[in-house]
Amino acid sequence: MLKTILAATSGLALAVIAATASAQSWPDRQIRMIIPFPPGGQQEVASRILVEKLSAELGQPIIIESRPGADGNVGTEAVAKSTPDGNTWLGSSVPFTTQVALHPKSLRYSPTKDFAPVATFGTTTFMFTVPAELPVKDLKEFIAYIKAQKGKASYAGSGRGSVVHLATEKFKQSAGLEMEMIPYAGQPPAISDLLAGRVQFMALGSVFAAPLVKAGKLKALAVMDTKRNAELPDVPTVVEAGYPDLALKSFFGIHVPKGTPEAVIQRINAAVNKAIVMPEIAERFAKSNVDAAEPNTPQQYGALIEQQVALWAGIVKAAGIETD
Amino acid sequence: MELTSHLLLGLQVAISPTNLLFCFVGALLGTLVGVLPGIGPAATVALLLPITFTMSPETSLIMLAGIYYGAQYGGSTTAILINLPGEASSAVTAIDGYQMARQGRAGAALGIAAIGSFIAGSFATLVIAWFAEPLTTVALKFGPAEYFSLILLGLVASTALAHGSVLKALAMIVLGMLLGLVGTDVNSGQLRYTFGVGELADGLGIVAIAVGVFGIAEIFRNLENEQEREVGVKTVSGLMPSAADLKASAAPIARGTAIGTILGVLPGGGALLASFASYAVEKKLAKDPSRFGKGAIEGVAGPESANNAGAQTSFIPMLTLGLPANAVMALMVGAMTIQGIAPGPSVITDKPELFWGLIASMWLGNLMLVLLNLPLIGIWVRLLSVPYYILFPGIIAFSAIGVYSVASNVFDLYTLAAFGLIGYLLVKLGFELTPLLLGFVLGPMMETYLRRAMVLSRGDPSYLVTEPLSAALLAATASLLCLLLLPSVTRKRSEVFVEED
Repeated sequence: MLKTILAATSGLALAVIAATASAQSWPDRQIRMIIPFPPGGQQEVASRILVEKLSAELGQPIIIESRPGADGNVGTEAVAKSTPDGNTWLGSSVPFTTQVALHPKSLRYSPTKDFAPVATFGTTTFMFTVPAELPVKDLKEFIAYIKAQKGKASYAGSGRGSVVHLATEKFKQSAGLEMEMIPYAGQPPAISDLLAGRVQFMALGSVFAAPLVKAGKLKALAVMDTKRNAELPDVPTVVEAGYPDLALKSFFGIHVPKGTPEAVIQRINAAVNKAIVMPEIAERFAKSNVDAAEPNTPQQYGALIEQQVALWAGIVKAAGIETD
Repeated sequence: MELTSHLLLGLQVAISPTNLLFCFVGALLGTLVGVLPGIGPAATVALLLPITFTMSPETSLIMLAGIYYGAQYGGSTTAILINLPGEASSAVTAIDGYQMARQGRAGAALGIAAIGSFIAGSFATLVIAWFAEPLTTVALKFGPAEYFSLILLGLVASTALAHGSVLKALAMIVLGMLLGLVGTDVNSGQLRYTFGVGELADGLGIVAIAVGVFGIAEIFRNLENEQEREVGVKTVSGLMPSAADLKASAAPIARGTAIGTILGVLPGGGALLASFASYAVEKKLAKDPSRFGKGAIEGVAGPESANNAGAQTSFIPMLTLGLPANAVMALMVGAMTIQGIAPGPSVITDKPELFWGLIASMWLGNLMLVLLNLPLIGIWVRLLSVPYYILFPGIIAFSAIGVYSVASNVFDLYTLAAFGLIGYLLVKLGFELTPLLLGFVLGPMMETYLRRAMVLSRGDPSYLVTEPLSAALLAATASLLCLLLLPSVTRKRSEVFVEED
């Protein structure tokens, strides 16, 4: 009996020592950052630019792994189940905060209970775009035009429950519009029907919108941000257009499984904050239409996540699009 | 005049030593991943994406494009040699190509595939150079209604893929479509037929099914009569297509090239239809359609040309509008974004060296591929003389690795094993598997387009016939259907197409 207790205590003590030691010696091996979406997206592009610097700072290679499936839930779940030793990260973004409202029953992770926030490193925006030949000049005219259509207008969404879908639902709620959502598997497939005028509206990622607007193939009515977009400085913000609650910026960040040592979280956070103030990062992010975030603490990023979870829950509820 | 100067600019970019080298590296890698069952260009490009960081934008795109069209060349090799198509498009090549290999004509089949691909690739490259911009407007004419009608036409025409009973072919198409229903409903987000299995939320894996029903099932079948060992065909007559082969293939190559070039421009799945459409056309035009499915060289020449032409012209919507036609193109859009180039209409004007350099490199790459592939034929054919008990574990291992590499998902391996068994049973019962694969690929696309069209029209089916282009395609479908259902034709069909094995 005594032996067992001794063994148990010493085992426990050893485990504690090991955990502390591992936090001190961390990182001692390669780190994986899982992006739960198909490869080639904006989030992956920005993450790759960032981890180049983080890897130099932390002294270990960081591998970006794309693990797509079920709107990001496959990869996110995998990170939730991984060992909380700081060697597995999740590339978190807006869908991380919307899924819990969309699938309250079937979602097998909680963005707040199963994960610890580390830092956010970049933001990107969506733009309200319409086909070039739609007879409207600005958002006001557009709203009047859609109202005159009496429910015949459609808009493109990149899949049910996607940010594009939810953001447009929010716009519809705010402006009192009636438009039917046409679902597409991602943003690029939707662009073709938008260009051809089969759908009248899309909240399109600025990385896709900017070149088409510049070429005169699409019109941009507003940018969903508090400040104008550097690529298209003539396009007003939603705040200027009178819809400040539509400034729904999209963010990219890092989460780790709950239970990861605080010291490890702090080290990653410091490395991220060091990287995002580098002019080189800002410049390379800008090429993919991503803005580097302001330096932030894990608490600040956690607060952003909680605010987003609440925001999307409200939108999902008002639009009645829960899927469980 | 302007075109000449553009092409010259492109050639200058493409023949710089670095670009030439990476064009070759891409084409070679593409051939290799095309040959390895299951490992497709998408996984390879995703893997190499970080490496392109350090290259110039031209070099990186030239290499990635090389992997893509190189894989189209390589994909036909295993389809012909061991009935193992890595992708849906090369499943068509397997129909007659594998039969040719069984008759000892693997060399001729591989040779005509390479030659057809080269001719098609060269022609399609010129089309991109000349007509990229006007063709963009054609691509935009295709909305949900048009795509639905086009795919319906493709499905009806695809009964031509079967050389046995029409009824059984239809049954396989429907079974394929049903399998395609598994996954998340795109309109409502509800899960369909997933039985609580999380891995099924995104549907069954196309690669796992294709490799399973063709490759693994074929292994079962071969092991069954291991004594006779019909795989390692001993008598291989000639490594190159004969003059008669070339003569018979000339017209199918030309038609396949035309079909592929046109369909490839449609980013919503045109390139996918190209090889199926070409096969159907060749069989319809043939003097003796009964030879199809039994090693007709036209059934290899046409679809292979169509496939490669389509692969090339599918760059048009990507380069001019930033619309990717498939997963590989989507990755190339990502590669461009990493380099700070926004794919879209401005690429041609802002980055002429990139646009024209890529086009010129495609032609050079196609030339390299044909030079690379023709000598390889001898090696591939010799592979057939490897004893089967050594060959088949290798095929299974590579298939498993390839299928796993698609999404690093163990569940796909269960799918592979299950469909190997299903494929074997279906073959035993006299069902053909190409229509199954076709239904699986096209069914979900057709559903997506139909439902999208119905939401756009608020549930009014007349939308499908009031859009002129869609109406024309539906009319073509209807007349084809009449032709198939005419009693006299049907009688003749069943006489001619009695199942042989």
